[in-house]
Amino acid sequence: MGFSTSAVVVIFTASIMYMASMFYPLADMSYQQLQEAKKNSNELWNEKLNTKIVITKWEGNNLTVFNNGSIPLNSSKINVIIDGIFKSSSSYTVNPLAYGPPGHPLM
Amino acid sequence: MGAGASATQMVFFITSVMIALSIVGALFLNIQSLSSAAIVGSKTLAEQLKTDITIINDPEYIPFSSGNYSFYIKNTGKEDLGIQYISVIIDGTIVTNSNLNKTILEGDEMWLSGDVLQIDAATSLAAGSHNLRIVTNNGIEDTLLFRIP
Repeated sequence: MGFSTSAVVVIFTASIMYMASMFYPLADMSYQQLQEAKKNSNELWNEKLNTKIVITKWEGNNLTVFNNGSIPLNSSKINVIIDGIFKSSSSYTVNPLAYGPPGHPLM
Repeated sequence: MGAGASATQMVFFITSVMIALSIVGALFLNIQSLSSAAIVGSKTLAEQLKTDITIINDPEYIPFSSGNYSFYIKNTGKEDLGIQYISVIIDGTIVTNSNLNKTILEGDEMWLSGDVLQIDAATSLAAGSHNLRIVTNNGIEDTLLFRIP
């Protein structure tokens, strides 16, 4: 009986250690993945909350848009919709300073 | 100790080892299933956290041409998205894929971050206020209240 009990204990212990060594890296990987995604999500919200643009002037074909937020914006990613119609980027030009810091015109 | 006792002990030993192994096998299968579910779950959640879309139409002017209303949706997240499983719901009714035409404006086949997706929906809408809801394949959505004059 003693020998059987020892064998069972050895089998259980070894298997639990093996399973823990298998499970822990996977759980850790999932946790790291979530932490990274959470960081991205926070950055996304930070960008959203700190972004504000204002159309300050519209004369003829010239439109002045100010970056009134607190983070720099990539002016090449601006989209223009006039009277509901999306304008293709080839139909307008933006400020050559393609990366507009706060307080500067983007286009 | 006689031969009978040894045989009994042997039977006990083999039986206990077999029971222990079957319990360990069952546990291992469950743990493996849990690990896989955790990995898939965390991957989905990570994708959802990185996904964001914004309907950028002017709610007062929805372009209408040849029986199609055009809606513009910008990928404002950090995840590249496929356009195949984007769902369009207008006034609570889903518009079937056969009535939708999806085009990525000035983009590739993947809907990259910052790209605008144009969805032409072949549907008839009465004058007045309407509700548009766009849902991505991982459940991220945006809603727009718009008016048809």
